Amino acid sequence: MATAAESLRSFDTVPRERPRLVRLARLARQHPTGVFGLVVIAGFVVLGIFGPAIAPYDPRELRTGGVLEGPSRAHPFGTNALGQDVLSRVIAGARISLIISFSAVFIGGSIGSFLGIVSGYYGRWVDYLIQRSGEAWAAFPSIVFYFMLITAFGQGVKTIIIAIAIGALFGGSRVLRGATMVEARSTYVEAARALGASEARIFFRHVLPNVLPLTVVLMSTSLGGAILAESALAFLGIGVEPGTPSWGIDMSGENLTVARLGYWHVVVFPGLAISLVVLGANLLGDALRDIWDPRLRR
Amino acid sequence: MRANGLFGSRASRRRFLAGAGAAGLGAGGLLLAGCGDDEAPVATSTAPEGGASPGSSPTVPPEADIPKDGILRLRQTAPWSSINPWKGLDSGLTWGFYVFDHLFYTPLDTLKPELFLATSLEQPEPTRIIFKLGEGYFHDKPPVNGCRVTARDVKASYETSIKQPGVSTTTFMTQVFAGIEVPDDETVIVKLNAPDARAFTSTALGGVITSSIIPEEICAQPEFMDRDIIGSGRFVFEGHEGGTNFRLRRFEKWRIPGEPWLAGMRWFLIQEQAQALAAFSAQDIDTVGLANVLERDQLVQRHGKDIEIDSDISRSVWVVLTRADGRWADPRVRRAVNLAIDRDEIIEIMTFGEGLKSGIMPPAFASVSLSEQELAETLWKFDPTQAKQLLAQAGFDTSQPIEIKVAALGDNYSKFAQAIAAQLEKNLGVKTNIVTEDFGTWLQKSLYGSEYKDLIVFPTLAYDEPSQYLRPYEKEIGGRPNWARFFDDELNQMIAKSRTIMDEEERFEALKEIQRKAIEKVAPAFPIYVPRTFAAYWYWVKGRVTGRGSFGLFNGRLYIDKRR
Amino acid sequence: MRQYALRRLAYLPLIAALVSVITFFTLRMPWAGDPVTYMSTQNTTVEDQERLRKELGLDKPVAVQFGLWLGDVLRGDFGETFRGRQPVLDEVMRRFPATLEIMVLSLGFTVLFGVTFGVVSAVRQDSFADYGLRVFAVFGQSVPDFFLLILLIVLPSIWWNYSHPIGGHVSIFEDPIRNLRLYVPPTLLLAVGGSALMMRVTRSAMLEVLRQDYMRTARAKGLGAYAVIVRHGLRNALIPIITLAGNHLVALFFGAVILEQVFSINGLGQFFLTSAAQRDFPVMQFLVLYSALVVMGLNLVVDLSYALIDPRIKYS
Repeated sequence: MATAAESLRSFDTVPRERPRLVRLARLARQHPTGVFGLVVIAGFVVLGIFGPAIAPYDPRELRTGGVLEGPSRAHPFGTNALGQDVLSRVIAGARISLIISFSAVFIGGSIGSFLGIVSGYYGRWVDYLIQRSGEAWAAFPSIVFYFMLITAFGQGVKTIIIAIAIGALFGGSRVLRGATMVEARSTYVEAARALGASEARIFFRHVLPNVLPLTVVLMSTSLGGAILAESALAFLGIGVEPGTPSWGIDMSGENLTVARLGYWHVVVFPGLAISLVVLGANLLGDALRDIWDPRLRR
Repeated sequence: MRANGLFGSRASRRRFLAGAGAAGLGAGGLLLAGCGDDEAPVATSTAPEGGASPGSSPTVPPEADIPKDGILRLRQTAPWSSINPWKGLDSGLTWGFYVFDHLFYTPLDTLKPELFLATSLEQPEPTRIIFKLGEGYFHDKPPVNGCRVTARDVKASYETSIKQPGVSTTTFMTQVFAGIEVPDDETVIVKLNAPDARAFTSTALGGVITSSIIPEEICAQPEFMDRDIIGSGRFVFEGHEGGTNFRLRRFEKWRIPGEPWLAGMRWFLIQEQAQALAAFSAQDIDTVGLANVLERDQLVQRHGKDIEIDSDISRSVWVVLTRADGRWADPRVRRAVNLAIDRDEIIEIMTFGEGLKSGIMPPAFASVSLSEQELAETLWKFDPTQAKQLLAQAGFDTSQPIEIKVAALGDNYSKFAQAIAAQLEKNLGVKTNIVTEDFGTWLQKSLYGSEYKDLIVFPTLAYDEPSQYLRPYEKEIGGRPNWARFFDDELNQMIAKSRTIMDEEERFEALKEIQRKAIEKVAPAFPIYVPRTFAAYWYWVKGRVTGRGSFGLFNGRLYIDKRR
Repeated sequence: MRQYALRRLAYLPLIAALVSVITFFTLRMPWAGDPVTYMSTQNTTVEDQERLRKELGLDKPVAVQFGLWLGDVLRGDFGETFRGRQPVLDEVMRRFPATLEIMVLSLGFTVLFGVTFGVVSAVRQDSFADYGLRVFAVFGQSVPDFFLLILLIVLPSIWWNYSHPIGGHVSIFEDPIRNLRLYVPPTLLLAVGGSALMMRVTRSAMLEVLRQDYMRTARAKGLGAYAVIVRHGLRNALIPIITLAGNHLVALFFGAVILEQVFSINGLGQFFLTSAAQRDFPVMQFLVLYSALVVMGLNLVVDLSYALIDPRIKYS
């Protein structure tokens, strides 16, 4: 039995394996910017996880060299007013950005997708309720919303994750709703229904598998926005705690003051780091969208 | 004079209030300092910068020669929530200096009251003070329409202001001050419940906000000042834009004829320090407070002799306050924290080397502070090895992170917290985490309400009165239990006793003894350093006088003269 | 059409009420900051605080407070600020022109550059200009707006010793030059992200339109290139552009807060930040309600404009 199954599987998988690789290679050739985005985001994830270990200095250590030294071999990005190594802070800053953006996108994306699918598939009052909430949400400028949350729950990583997640939630739900509605009314679903398939079977066999990849696309396209939102909040001083290596924080306050005095390296490198990662996220998101669902292309 | 003696003449040129907050807030410049209102241990960030002071400027040309059409343009660091002087420290102090008149004010250098509206001051017995009023008029706006200032206005101002929830009154004003009698329109008799050495200081009858003379009619309905400010001071309040961009113009009927020499003052809201510097360079404002030497060096390099830099050693002390209960009850633990703080490195980081280590009394109060040598052997000692040993002996759980609470008030607040955190991590081998709170919560709950776990860090106000610096060592601080829950009967009695000593020398000696005792008992408030503050002026701002604390702001002889 | 508009209008107060309820109750959660603490000093006694609480009406049950507030609002009274005790409406109106100008200018720039670039890039598809503009779009969407604004403060001052005008808002009617110096550079930068997005949308909408038969017909009829593009192409690409402009305006609330913060402009964004920091409920309440109504009103206008642009769209 086992051998039969194994041989069956190997028979089944071997011919498939190669085309997949080939297809991937072709995709990569068709979307070079997407590959670039993927590399950037991969690097971002690696830095986010191993950053503090990779960084040449402890990002919080005072006076790793002189104060406000320009870029040099010992400090490629220079040092800030506390004498901290800017490169180490930029590397370590990936972590908070990664934690917040990924959690927010994951939470917001999955809840949003769920709501969208439910709304699109069941329609009626569920749809009505979710869509009206979405409209109310859209009428709520995000900055106002962040402040309300912070006022109510206090400042902190969790509050920011929730705030950004909710931001991603309704946008996602609308797209998924549309896609689900299309699937649910497609001819093959009607055919399945005519053949007597149960609703649950239709939903799980036919509708869900077709819309789920969209969730991944959605998450990847909202990643850039989440990173931007996190850094903007940190910049306004309503994000994570000071002292935390964070790109947004490192561009505000005294660093900004000294930048005006000519110590540009203190703010420019964190700014470039944000820009690069958001660029990577956007390129990756665009590519994934093109690959999975050209209809979404703008 | 004492204060001046410590530093060279250049160093002692004191920019208005010495900016408690000034350096403290990074934004440079705020007034706050010397008023020493009991309740506010830290500056708020919102006060605009004050103008320079007049006076000791060496070469003032004959008055006829002085152009009197200048408008002094200053920076405001944040919008005010109210222009009502009884609803905010920022508005209270600013209008106190420029729009309201006072009976007298006590400068920091002499510590002796100088008369303003009062023409005489007598103290026939320690609990009775008699002022005779000179001739002064209120600004010509309804409802007072330029009527003369009477003793009743003074009485109403003192007695009403101390009842306002938004005014920080001192223990002197609530307990020692017994009320005012006005036998006639020109006589004010202040009665005290007990003799007190502080009667004429800024923490008592000389408090800028408390002593501001406000028309009796307006005292009866303080909400009036939400809309307009009417005083009898050198400048008339002209207007504002939602708590920003204030405009003052010269009061033509000011009691000193010919003054003020400025035609008016204008504030401009510039929140970012970077932008303030740019605005100064572009000559959009006449003066700017500088956050550090880098800014000074850059401006000097750029503008050379076109600008002048005033510098001063602040009286605002940056403090690390531990708790005195729980795992902090053991003095060895507190001592370990102090031993783990490398003050030289802190000064290097916070001020690029332009600061001084501070004892409990900041170095500006030379006559009452302990000698540097004495402090170097006690309070200022830096010894990480011994610190770690002490922690181990006390059985301190180093796996528990130390929480550092700080107000979200500006760059320097978080920078100081970060510096302390990094040193404790390195020198004690503990984890730390910094908690930032908005100023209101931080002040009311965390500091006054003692709701902090381990450490709280802040700069004190720059007081004009030395004994104010002893407040963190008392059992009760302004009616509330000691912030750190540090209750020491001996220290408390020593402090209470020092207030009743009327002889100056004897009193100063008592103050020094208190400081020694506090260090010996490892009282939980550890003074770290005082910054040097800098302010840049364009060459045309003339008549600045420095070295007299907030007194320098009551200056009618500041003027703008673009001739070289 | 009229019926649809009326029905949408009927939603307005409903959603406004919902938003107000949420705001009102969130602010007054027991664990949220207490405005009275922010107004007291060390000497404020418990009695003072109670009196203050009573004066501000915070002593009543939250539901009652809401009822009173709602009643006042329906009568057109938005209350007084907690701190300055000024009418909220006056305080808002004072700051309104600055924020309005920021919004109008940066939305204007967004549309102007977004649409122009989009059209150029679509018409000259695969040209050097198209390539350059697409690169701009990709980067423009990735650079944080506050980074651009910081560079506007940092770089000109290092390079040319240039300082941005200060002193807050100046009316454009009073001092047009100063006003434009104050607002144009930052709003231009604030428009970068939006115009990048708008350019992409315009470009793909235009490409789609250009491929349609009627465009070929129009060209065959001998219409000039400009007329073809504007009268036929752009008109048909307007719907996604308008949708995006509507969305962008909501995003601009955030942008305005950042711009006002970086350039010290005392507008509604600053007002909101300071009021939030001091828990000035009536102000927050008003601004939330106001922004909700503005955004919903605009959405309605956007939706209705579809019908005007494309007669095929009908609402029922």
